[in-house]
This record gives sequence, C-alpha cells and structure tokens, in this order.
Amino acid sequence: MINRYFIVLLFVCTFLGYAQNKQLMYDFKEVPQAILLNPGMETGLGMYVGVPLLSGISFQAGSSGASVNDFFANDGLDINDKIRERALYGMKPSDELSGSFQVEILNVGFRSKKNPDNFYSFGIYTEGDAIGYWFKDYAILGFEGNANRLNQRFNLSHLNTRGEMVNVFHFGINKRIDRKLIVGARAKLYSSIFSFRSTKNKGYFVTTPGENNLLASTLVADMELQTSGLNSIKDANDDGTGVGSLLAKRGMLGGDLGVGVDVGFTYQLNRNTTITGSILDLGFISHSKDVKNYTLKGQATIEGVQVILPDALVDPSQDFWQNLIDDVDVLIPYEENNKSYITFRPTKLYGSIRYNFGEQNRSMRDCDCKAGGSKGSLGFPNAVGGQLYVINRPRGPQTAVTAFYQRNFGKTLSLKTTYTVDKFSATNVGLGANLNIGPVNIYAMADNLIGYKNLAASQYASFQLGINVISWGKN
Amino acid sequence: MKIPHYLFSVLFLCLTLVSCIEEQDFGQTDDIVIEPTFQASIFYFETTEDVINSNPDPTGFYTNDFNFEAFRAEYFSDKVIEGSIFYQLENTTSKPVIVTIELIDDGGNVLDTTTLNIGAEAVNTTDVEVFYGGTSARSLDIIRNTSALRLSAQNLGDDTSISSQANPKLIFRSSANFKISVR
Repeated sequence: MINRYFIVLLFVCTFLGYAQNKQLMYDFKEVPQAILLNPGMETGLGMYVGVPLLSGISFQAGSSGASVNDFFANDGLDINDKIRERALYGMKPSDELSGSFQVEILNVGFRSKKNPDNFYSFGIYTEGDAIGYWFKDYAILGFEGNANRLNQRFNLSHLNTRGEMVNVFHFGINKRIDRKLIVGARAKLYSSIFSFRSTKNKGYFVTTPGENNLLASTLVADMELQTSGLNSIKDANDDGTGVGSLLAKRGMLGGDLGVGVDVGFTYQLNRNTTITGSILDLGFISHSKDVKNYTLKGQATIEGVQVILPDALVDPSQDFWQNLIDDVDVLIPYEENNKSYITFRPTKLYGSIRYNFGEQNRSMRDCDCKAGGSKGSLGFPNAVGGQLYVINRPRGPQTAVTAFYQRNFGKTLSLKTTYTVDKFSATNVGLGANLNIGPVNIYAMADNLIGYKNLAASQYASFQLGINVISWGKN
Repeated sequence: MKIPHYLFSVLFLCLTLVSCIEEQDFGQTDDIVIEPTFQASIFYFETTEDVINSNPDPTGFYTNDFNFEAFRAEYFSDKVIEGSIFYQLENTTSKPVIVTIELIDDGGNVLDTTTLNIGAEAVNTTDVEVFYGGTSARSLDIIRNTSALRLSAQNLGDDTSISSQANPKLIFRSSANFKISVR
C-alpha cells in the first residue's frame, strides 16, 4: 500500500521540483531531447529512440531567498534567531521556492524518407512543477502573533502558490524551409494528474484600536484555493485502494485534459551566425474532474462580545457569543465548491544567438545536408553565444540570461558550458556533455556547479541526463 | 594528437556527481520554538445612567452570565502557556460603581473573580490586568476551563441624580493577550 508518505513525497517533489530553465540543453543540437525545447531546432539526426524512462530525466530546485545551509549549518547559532533573521525578516514575498521534474516515458524522432527536410518526433513525458512564494506575513503572524503590532496589516496576498503533475503526449514536426530557415511546431495533449492553485488572494488582517472596545480585529479576505485530483488521491490512500493505479489512470487521459503547442525556429544569418527562438507550452488545462475549491470571501471587524444596555435588555438571555460567531460566518463565509476551472501552462520563451567557428567536421559537412543540416551550421567545432529564457510566473515573467561556449569533438563528444544570471544566482556555471558511442547516445548536464562545493549552501541545483539510440543523417 | 574524448566524460561526471556538503545539523529542528502571542478584545459592556437609575436594587443593578467559548477552543486550550486579561472601566455617570467579572466553568463554578471600582464622573479609567500561567499565581486551568463570563454591576450612589456630562455612561472594556506554544 502506498502510504501517506508517498503523498508527502509527491508534494515535496512537485514543490521542489518548476518549469526548469534548461539553458544547457537548449540548442545543444547533438542531444536529441533538445528538440523538445525548440521544435524548430536544426538537427543532423536521422533517427533517435529514447530508452523508456531513461531518455530524459531532469530535476531542478531553487530557492531565491535562503538555502538549507542558512538554517542548518552547524555554526552554533540559535536556529530561532536564524529563522527570524534569514526567513521571517530576511526573505521578501517575491522570494520563491520552486522546482520541476520531468521524466520521459517515450520519445522517438525520425526523419521522413519521403521528404528528408521533415523531421518528426513524438512521445510522452511526465512533468511536475510547482512554485510557492514566501508567505512572509503569514509566517510573521504564525511565528510571533499580532500582539504589539497595532495597525500592522498582514497581507493575505502573500499566499501565492500553484503546481501540478501532468502527463504530456506530444507530436512535433521540424521542417527545413530553405538553406537558412528551419521552423517547427509541436502539438501537446495534457493529462493532468493533480493540480492546485491559490494565486489571486487579496486582503489583510489587522488589529487596530477599537471603536468601542480596546481592540478591533479586522479581516478582509478574498481568498481561493482550487484543486483537482487531490481528493481522489487522498481517498485512495485512505482506503488503500491504490494510489498508483489512480495516478496512472489520471495520467493516461483519464484526468483533466488540455491542449497546447510549442513553436520555434532557427534562422541562419550568415555562414557562422544563427539565431533561434521558441515558445513552449502555449496551452491550458480544463479542470473538471474531482475538483474541490475552497473560498474565504468577505470582511468583518469584531471587538469581542458586545452588550449594550438598554438595547440588550430586550432579550437578556440571548447567546451573544454565538451571535458573534454567526455574524462572522455570514460576513466572511468559508465555502467549498466543485466549479471547474482552467489553468494556463507556465509558458516559456527561449531565444539565442550563436556564432560557430573553427574548421567544420568533414563527416558532418559531407553528410546529406539536404537531409540533416546545412553546410553552414552543423559540424563546427566551436560555438559561442547568448541565450534568453523567460517564463510566465504567478507574480509576472521571470527572466534568465545565459552566455555559452560549446566544443564539439567530431560526432563523438560535445561539451557545453554556460554562465547564467537569474533571480536564484549570479554565479551559475553549468556544464553539459553529450557522448555518442556508436548508436548509443548519453548525455548529462548540471548547472550551478560552484554551488556543488557546498550543496547545502546552494540556492539552485539542477541536472538532466538521458540515454538514446540514434542514427545520423538520412535513414 | 588524438584527443582523449572519454577523459572529458570522466571529468564531467566527477565534477557533477562528486560534490561537497558542509556539515549540517538537522537536529536543530528540535530546538525550534514557535510561541506567538495573540491579542484581541473579548468583552464589552456599556450602560446608560438611565438604566442604572431605573434598577435601584442595592445588590446590583445588573448581572448576567454570557456564554464565552473562545478559551475552550481546543487549539487554544491545548497550547496556551501564559497570558493576561486586561480590564478597563470608564464612568461618566454621577455615581460610583463596582463591576465584578467572574470566569465560570461548565458547571457554573466561579473560577476567578476580578473587581473594578470607579468613582463618579471619574477623570481616569480604572485599569486592571490579571495574569495567568508563567510566573503568576493564577493557574492557566482557569482560562482553559472558562466557558462563560458573569458581569455584575453595583451602584454605590443614589438612583436619581444625573451626571452633568453629556450622554453619561458606564463602560467596561476587556482584551486578552495570550502566548501559545505551536511548537
């Protein structure tokens, strides 16, 4: 039986695991999975088949506010002081804990025999992503209370989180239009396993001097938590009826469905320079099965039980306490509903400019360039360039910029190193390697390597790895 | 010279898979103390001088029990560790008054009594703060078992005079300030 720890793990994985910036993978043409980041990528592959469950494994976790080491370093400091200094008052509501994971179940690509300018790819992958912003005012209220904080508003919008686990079925077409331009598109069908979202909360809690009594407690709330799939998981766990089979059922088109599209291009400016761009996950999921939403909307100010004579003498036996509770319930009703809702996928945008140099690899240059790449772009031993990554987040777009250098040693080995600046780190150096041993392709990538000297102090870590079977050029 | 291709892979794997981590003491979680202090008004009573004059009972012109479940809430009663109740009496009527507040349990037993005196047309309020738990003499069980409040008010003056002040009233205010142990 899958116990409750599995559920906790699931949440931790999704929370630690959001829409990873795969700057190492992007436009790494030798890696088959790179075409998932730009359906219009230039590729010299004739065919690839990913090893099921091993062809694409990626994980990313990031905290823009604090690291594990900030709290748990064996430094002799009182952990309560560290929490107050580094979390309660050290982190901002814009700081986030986020991450993503992705595991490919199936991934296949092949070049059309009829029209070698066309490259098709399809597959299934499981993806979990989640983000939670630092709920600063909730934390202060929970850690220290409201005493001696007269007129301080505790902002309810600080609760801002979303996440989901989804299976993605996809089919993509990559087409060379001419010697300079390649375009691509990928259709996606999403099968949501579970989803939660609470991103538009508004309101505040404040304690002020009372109008009649000593203090007035005011709650103005417009809050909502939307969920789908979670109740059936909880029920299956409680009943012991099999969470695994439920997840599989919801993941294999038995859950909430959605559609989306990726588009991208590669354009060769001149013999050495190319620009690329892609937009990924331009889509949505409609949640209508096993939906449970929770709302708290309204406003109330209370100053305790109030008994005012002579009015209260009319009915001296009335239950003033219960009346107060009832009034609050009416003014700020807590409700549950099953209304369906739509979530938009965290849309990502990639762009790059790349300068290739050095002597072109003969085997690449001699390939059927009509089928694979062009003479001008594939097979260079060196490339440098810059990349841009933007992702749509609940608090607005988030950007990362990357500089990269790639070195190819023939078809056998390719190395790519990146330097990325984003909200998590300004010292993110990454390294990726792609190795082809005969028809076997292995790749591994990790970034924020400087953080590896003390992983606990790192605020960002990610890796990607996979194994494929490949062939080059024309089939 | 032939480039040792596979050496790069080995180096890469070494770099990515062999990482360091400074000593962490996750046992510090045992030392985390979360003890917020919350405050809110609990009870407000107000009467006009007319009401006082119209009830010339020498034992008290008003007494009543009020259901009050706030302290009985499981989350609060299980976790409260210390705190206080602050009482304030304001009097602009023409007679001195005694107000008694009693904390009462489910069986109607009086758990604690606080008396506030105030003179006629008092310039200053009468303020009393009663502490429970911690280093105070009063047990927190008083708070934990309180399910009702009894307020009694006694007129120590005459029952005909009218205060020279506008809209004369006797006002009783109170608030609670308690620390709870979340962890």
